[in-house]
Amino acid sequence: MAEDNNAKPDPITTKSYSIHLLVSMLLLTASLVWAIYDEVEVMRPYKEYQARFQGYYTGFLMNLRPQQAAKEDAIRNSSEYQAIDSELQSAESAVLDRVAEIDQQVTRGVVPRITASRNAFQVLRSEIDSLRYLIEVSHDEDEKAELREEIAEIRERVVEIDLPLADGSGEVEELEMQYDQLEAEFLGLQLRRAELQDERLEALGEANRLREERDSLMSDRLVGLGATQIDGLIARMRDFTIGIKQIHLMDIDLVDRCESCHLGIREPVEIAPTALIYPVFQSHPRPDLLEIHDPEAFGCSSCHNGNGRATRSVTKGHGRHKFWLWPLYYRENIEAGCHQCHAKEIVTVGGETLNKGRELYMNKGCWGCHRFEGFDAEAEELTQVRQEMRNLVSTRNANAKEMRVSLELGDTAADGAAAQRLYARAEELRLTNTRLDAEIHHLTVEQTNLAREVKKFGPSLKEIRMKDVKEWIPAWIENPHEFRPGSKMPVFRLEDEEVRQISAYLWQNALQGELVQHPRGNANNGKELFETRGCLGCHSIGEGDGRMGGEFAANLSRVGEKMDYAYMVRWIHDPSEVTPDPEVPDEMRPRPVMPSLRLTVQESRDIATYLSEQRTDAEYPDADYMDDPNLAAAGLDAIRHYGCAGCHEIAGLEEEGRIGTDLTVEGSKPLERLDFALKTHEAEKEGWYSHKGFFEHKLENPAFFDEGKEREPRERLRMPNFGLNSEEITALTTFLLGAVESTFPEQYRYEPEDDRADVQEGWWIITRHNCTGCHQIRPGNVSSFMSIPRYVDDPDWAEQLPPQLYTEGARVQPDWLTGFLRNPALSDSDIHRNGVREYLHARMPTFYFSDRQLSKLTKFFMARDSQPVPYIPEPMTPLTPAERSIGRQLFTSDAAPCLQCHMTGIPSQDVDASAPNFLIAAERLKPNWTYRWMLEPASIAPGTAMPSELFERDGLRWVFSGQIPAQARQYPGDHADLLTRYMFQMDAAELRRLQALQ
Amino acid sequence: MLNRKTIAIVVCPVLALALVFACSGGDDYFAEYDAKSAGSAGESGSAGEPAAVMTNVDPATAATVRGVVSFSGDVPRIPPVNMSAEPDCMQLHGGRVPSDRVVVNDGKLQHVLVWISKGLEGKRFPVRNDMVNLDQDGCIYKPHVVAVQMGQNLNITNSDPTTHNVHPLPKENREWNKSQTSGAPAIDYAFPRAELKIAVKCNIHPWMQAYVHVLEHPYFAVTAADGTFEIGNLPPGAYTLQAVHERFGEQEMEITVGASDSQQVDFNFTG
Repeated sequence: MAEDNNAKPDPITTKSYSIHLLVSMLLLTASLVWAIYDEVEVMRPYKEYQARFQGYYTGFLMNLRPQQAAKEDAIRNSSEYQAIDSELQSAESAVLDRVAEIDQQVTRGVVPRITASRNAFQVLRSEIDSLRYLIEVSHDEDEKAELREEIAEIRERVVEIDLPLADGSGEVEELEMQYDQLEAEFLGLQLRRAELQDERLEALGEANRLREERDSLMSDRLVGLGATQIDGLIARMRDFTIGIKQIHLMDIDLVDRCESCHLGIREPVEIAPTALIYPVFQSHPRPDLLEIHDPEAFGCSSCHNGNGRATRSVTKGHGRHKFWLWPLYYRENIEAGCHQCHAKEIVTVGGETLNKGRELYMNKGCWGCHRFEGFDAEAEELTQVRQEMRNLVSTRNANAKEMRVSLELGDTAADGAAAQRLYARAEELRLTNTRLDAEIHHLTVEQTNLAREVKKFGPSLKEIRMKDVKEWIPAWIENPHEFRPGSKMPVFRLEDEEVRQISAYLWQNALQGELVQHPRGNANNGKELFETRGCLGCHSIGEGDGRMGGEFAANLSRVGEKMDYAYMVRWIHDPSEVTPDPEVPDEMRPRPVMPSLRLTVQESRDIATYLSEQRTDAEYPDADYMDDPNLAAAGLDAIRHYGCAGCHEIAGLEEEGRIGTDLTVEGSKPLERLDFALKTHEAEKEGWYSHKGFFEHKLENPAFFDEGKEREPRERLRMPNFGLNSEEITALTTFLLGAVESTFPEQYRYEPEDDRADVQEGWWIITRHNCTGCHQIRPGNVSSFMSIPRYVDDPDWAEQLPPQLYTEGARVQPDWLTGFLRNPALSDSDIHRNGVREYLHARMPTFYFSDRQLSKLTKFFMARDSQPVPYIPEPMTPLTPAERSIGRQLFTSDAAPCLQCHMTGIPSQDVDASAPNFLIAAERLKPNWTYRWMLEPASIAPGTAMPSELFERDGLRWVFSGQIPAQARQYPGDHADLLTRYMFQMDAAELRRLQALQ
Repeated sequence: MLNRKTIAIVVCPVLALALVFACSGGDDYFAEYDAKSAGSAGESGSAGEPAAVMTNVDPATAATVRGVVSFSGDVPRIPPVNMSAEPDCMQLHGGRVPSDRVVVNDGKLQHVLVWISKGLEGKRFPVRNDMVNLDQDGCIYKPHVVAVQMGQNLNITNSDPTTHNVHPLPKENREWNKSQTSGAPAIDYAFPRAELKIAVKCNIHPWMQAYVHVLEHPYFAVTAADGTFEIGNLPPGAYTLQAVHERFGEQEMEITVGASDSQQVDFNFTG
């Protein structure tokens, strides 16, 4: 080595770079290979999906085809199909000769002759047309005249032409024709062809009608696709090309490539999750939703979230990646996607989990602390109305002032014209103010309405001194769920001292008043009334398996331990009767959510007696400290801190605001602003560092994110524990996940301004007042009544269920409905009854609806059935004496024992009644609905006592089925129509006559 | 040496890289399902319970179970039916119409359904084709309790001079409500689903009530006026025999029948 040290070889000649070059070349080649591989394979995993889909789906279709073909064959072999088919065959064969003859005439006669004459005619015509053009562009009158002559010459020219004979014999006639003759011949031939085609159509008319009938019979009967359609799909799969499948919506800049892998989503056959082995290929489980929300217009990720552009992996496409803000909703929360566009609704058809979440938000009182747009809207509207009123009043005052000034100026104006101008101005202002007065009056009414509607979530605590057992109060505040499991009053994290302070404040600041004392009633009767009159529509009683009734209001299993008997009687008898509060004028007093069941005092006593016996032998320690004024002073602080006034009326805290965050767009809140506190790391590690994870943990245990923190009691998280079960947590999480600031333009959102808005608004009132506790308003509703044991087990009680309201808007007249909702007794004096269904034990209660709510509810029912408001009744043809007599006979015939079930107003006869009195039909019902009801009651009210098939079809009319009097049999008109008219023209005298005939 | 090292340094990462994408190339989404479907290959196509198998009973070995349902204790006093709202029917009875809700004759209970409640799972039997009639006679359903196999016709007739409506109130089957005038043809209806205690009502005559039991298989009987029942053509095996009365609830008994056995099984309800 040493010798070499001196030698300094020239690197250019001696050092080889070939290794370096080789390495570089290898490197470059490798990276090129890698780049191509990555581009073709790694970046495009959907290719594999598509290849598999093509194979499996084709197999699936091949498999399906014979099944469907067999179904088609079965239909083809059915007698009905055969009947139409043979009719079709004979219709076709009857006209076969005629059609062949026409075809012959057209193809062998008319068409060859047209073809032959066309050429000659068109040559001449184009010559003439070109000359005409020259005339039009020429400016020389002489030249024009010359040209016209030329045209005339052409028209005179005789052309020799060979035309095939029109009889189709194939022979040719030689003709000499001028232009006009040729034109007549040509146009005549075309007309002839059209005539022949019409004749052909006419001849085939019956056959075509039958073919249509046969084909529609097939499509009606066949479940799924026909063999031909499946063949079409198979052919499509054969021509399938592998490539990205994407939806691009320009206006919202949305690119969704989901269908590059989810290839079966929009296929017209149902593909069950495992039908093609891989669930990724299943068809959309709710094709009905896709029909309303066409993916070409809405995309996929707009509803489902996820990263629609990503195609590299499932994780990335689904956005389940820490750098993607909006991960795909999990299956249990899938309806969250509905809310962003359906944000104005509390009930979205088809979104049952979401609806449940919204309902819980309403009925667990979340809105007491957390504002959410739409919830408690009345309070906000009230503020707006007040503001608007102030504005109007000041405008009016300004107008009045300007008016005075104008008048004064007019009095002293220089000339008459100027004076008139000023007087006119004053006049205009006076009229404006008159209009403003009307508007202000309207707002005053609106304000009173709204003040009635604004309700805090929980009961007023101003009355607890008269209502509750003193010693019970601190026990309840400390842990309401111990006294009443599942209570809506949540469990706060309170120090013992705070419980004492709050109790003391509430006790000392409650109203004091006199209660009328009542003797004890009959508890047995009270129990019966409680279980059947309607209390259980909202309230429940019993615990565990013995629990029955609704979840809307309190469980009354231990109410006897806490409530004063006299107070309970007053409350049950008339919940709107409250102790006068000097702070609140009566007309502004909010009405309770609990409606009046219009019970007699004695009934109220009976129920109160029964309820006051609902108690355990629990004992409560003395609570003398509640009278200590020092404790009360500290209590005010605690009440403010924990936000009690969010849900309760509390003396001295009438204007207190909410203590929680606004949750209207909580789902859009940046994740880092959700305080995971010391749980961040754990959440990331366990994969729930997401909105979903935060909501679920917080709802399950609101103190969760305090864990491990060193905090003073008042620094701790304040949210109390509602004891939600997992189903409730999922529903609320779904709702909150969907509560996002929509990035979609208005046309995507469901914010209708027509009568569909009435439907949206109506659901808010219905949810707030728990109408569905008793009524089924949407198919699938299950009312609280439907689970009460006696209504489930005893078929006689099953008929005592409150009425279904599926088609209420089509059934009743809007004005009647408004009146009924205002006073369901339909009477001011005889109030202890139902106005319509007197035979029901359950009673439609009187809600304290404001006029505004009455109007909204009426509009809701009308809008749902697309009924016009106002309702202008169709004119009703008066009955002829003969018709009246037939109506009478039908009503009392054995075939139509109407009065066996419908009420008559005579108590002895109404013992077994199970349907309303006919006397109120005319003012209550709509004739067309009544007509349809008689024909097919089961399709209006499933399970109704009114039997179907009372009528049978006779040509175009309906006649009564069964034995009917001769006179009725001969009556040529429609029996259902006659009965409707008879019913609508019935009066008390007529009803008495009927009873005599019975 | 250096050169080799260089090569190694450069080539190794390239190889490693190649290895990485060779492994990560396929999404293993498919693997999971491929394994599953390979595992289930050969089993019947539909997931879940295997389809019931049509069973042919060999009459030579078939057994019979018969017995009596008796009643001890006080028979509840049920007020007679008040038919005053329907004079036509009242005339047919000429006086008091005793209720048919609980019928005890000489200590024997009528209207009890006795059926095999366990032991026949996974078996299918031909639908019985004997005629089961429910007649409206004198504004009373006769009989008060009927039992049919699912798919078996129930023949509902009206022998009265008045119109009735037939209104079954099932919880699992379809609900319907049809009027049946006097002399109208019979309504034939086969309940498609098994369900016990389907109440049938006439809304026009609210006192009328019957119960229909719809069973999955043909092994059932309703006790006659003397409390007896008989279930025949039963394949040998171990079964649970259940007796159901609308008011007195259910009772069960384990039985084992051998080939061509004739077994006596008695039940006793107490009031």
